[in-house]
Amino acid sequence: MRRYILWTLALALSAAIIFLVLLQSASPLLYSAEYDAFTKRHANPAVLKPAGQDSAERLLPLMSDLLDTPGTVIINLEYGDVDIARQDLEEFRQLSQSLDSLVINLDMSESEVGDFRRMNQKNLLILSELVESTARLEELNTLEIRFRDARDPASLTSITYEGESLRNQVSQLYTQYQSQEEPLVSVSEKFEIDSTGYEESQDRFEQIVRKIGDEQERRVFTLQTQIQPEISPFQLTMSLAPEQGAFHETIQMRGNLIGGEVADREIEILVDTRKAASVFTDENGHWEYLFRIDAIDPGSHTSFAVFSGSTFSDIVSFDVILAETSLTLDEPRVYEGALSCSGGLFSDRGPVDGVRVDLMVDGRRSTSQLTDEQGAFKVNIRPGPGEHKVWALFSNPDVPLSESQSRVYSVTIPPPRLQEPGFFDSWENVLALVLGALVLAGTIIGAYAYLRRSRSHVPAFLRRPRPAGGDFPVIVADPGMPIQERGPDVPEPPGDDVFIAYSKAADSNIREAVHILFSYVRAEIAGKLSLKNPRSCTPREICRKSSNLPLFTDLSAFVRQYESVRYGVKIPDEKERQSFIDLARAIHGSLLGGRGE
Amino acid sequence: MRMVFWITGFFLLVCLSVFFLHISTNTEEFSRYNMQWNGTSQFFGSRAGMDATEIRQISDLAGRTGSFLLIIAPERPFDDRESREVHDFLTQGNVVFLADETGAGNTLLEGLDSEIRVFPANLTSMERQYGDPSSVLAHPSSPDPLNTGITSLVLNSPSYTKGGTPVFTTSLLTWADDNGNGRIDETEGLGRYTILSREYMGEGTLYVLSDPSVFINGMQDAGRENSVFLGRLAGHDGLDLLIEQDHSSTAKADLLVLAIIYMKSSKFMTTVLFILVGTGASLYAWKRYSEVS
Repeated sequence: MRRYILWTLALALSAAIIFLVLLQSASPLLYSAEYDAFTKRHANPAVLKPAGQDSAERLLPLMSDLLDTPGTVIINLEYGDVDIARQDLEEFRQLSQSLDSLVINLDMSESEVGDFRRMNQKNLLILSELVESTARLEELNTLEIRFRDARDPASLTSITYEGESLRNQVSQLYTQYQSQEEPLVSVSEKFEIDSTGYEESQDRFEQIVRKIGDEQERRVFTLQTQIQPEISPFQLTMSLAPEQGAFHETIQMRGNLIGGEVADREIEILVDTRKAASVFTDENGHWEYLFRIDAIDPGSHTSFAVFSGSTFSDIVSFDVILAETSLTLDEPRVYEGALSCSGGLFSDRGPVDGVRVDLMVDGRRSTSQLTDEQGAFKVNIRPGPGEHKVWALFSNPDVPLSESQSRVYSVTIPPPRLQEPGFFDSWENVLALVLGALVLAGTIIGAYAYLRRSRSHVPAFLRRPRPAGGDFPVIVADPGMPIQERGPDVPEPPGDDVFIAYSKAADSNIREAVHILFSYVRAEIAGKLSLKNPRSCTPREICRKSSNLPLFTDLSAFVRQYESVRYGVKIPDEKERQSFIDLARAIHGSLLGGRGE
Repeated sequence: MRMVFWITGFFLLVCLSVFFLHISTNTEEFSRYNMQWNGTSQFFGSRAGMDATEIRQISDLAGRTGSFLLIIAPERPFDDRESREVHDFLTQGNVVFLADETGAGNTLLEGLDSEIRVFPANLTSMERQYGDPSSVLAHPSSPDPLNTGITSLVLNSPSYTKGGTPVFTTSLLTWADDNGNGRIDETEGLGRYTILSREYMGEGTLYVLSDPSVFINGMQDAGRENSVFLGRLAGHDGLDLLIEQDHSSTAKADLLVLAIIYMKSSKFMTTVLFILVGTGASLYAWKRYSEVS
């Protein structure tokens, strides 16, 4: 029976342990390969995720394609296939977008690939404007024929002026395209990309510029020689000052309308063939316009005024200067997990206002902010806990300001102060507590039940009361010591109840039965020798302590038989069972000086 | 009761096995006794590794011909005498393969009067096997028996070499990540780096690989072609494989492991151990017998 209880307990404990292990299996805390996956000399591949190699492998072929595509666009423009050039340009734009995303994904903005990407974006911009300008020039050619046939000198003058502006613009685009050649070829050589196509496209671009120039010369010649100027009662003049300016500076354009009724007449002002403004003349025919340099490319630009769509001023030019900028960033301040950044943008002519400054965190644009009248900006960001590199960047190709970057700061954002969760906030803690309590309670109840059961097996007459005076003295048996026949520590002579209990138990569990007898004998001898804690004595210890007593021979025989049954596998027969009783009687008799026999 | 005895015995046996397994291994980088990912126990436990001859001192190379000497991750410099002996070994038509990323092997290269040098660096690449940028891929560069038919080799935080004939090089999208942030910065230039260089010296051939990590246990499954490469090293042109164990980090072991190795290698100590164990067992058996009787 006891064996079943032990098995049940063992099973219950095993189940409890397995359950506890399963609870932890989702997030093992003892060891994980990630804990020691990196050393100074290598990383454990077992914990690394496979890389998406496609992107890196695509990069160089993509760069090669991007270097070839401008040549295709320019060839088509040279041969006058504007529609096909537009298609090529669209393909160029898509390829450029692929490069943009690839560079961002691979985090290569600061490498030569990043430089290549920036130059490619510039090329895209140049080619876009070239395609539009060429398309417009094609239209002008058609219109020129129509106006010439219609003998419409005003319209012819208009398109001639527009042609002049476009020639100017294309010429500037060529200058920009030329300036890209050396750095782009240098990068492509480094990456072993064939740049022959790109270099050839420079020559073709030059051919286009020359062709547009020739067409414009012819247009001017036609206007001057073949068309009789329309006799108009009005004359329009235009001048400007200064002839050059920088970002957010103004150029004063003014002139006079002469002839006829000149008061309160509308004058259109065109810059690079695009209408910039309309103004009205005063009573004297005087007009004036302040042109503010804003989103316009640096370089030479043309301007003229038109009255009533038929009276043109001369074309006047002005230069837009590319202003060098410097960007400052004060040391970022960290407060409550956020970062406060402020700084200013200045050109060599003073503060720069009204432009966006990007705040870069770890190489990526975090936010952007407009500068105020003092060129100052201030932003607050939350980059997340950890160490970050922060700097400000100004880059806007639409305005005549050079790119600039502030110094780079390393900042550390502390992790947010975590509120320690309470013990009972986690269901796992509660479950562990309940399980722990159950296991503990089970252990206590089991132990109590086991002890109760064990004690119930010992017959009442074997339970010796502890003396009231304290511990028993340790005494070694002395052969000369007289046998104490009566007294409080001497058990009464055994009746039949010990042997009855032995016989009863022997039928079901002989090991328990012999233990009853041994317990009886041990209690007898312990009483005789006044042994301390007799239940802790093994059979051999009892035997050793009784070596000087006359009962030693019987006790030795009893212990030998007892061990063979209790600890061995021996099942005694009827005769051997009886011999246990005989030996116990003999020992008892020896203790009482032969009375028991 | 008997069943309990057997179960207890079984668990004791398991515990003892785990205990001996524990004390007979270590966690030293590149150690052949290290069974974890950063040891080289698998390479040394392979057939080629088992069949290889250990070179405990460089002077043991004298007079050998038709051999392939492997020096993996040297951790201390070579002196002039050792360099001379390796030089003699090389010029007799043998092959020396040095795998080093720290530059400790440069003393040997200088002593050999070689053009090749190892430059310690944190080489990082966009072309990589795993998400970590240190798992750089290298590709064959010039024809060589070691790279024939191999398209790429997976490396693990390699350095690079200069000089000699490049046998394996990285892609152009590779850089030395000086600040260790895993990304390319303005001051770090992209370029192609040599990983394995070759130089003929006399009748012999010298190879220098800038990444000994290809030998560690964790890299054994990194790629099929890595296995092919290691197989070629082990059986290069049918030469006898010699593995240097004097300077190499692969020989690193703690005291207990060294004691076990010494015990295994010394017949005298083995005999003494058997006598001690036998005597102890006999004494115990005698005591038990006398107690029972």
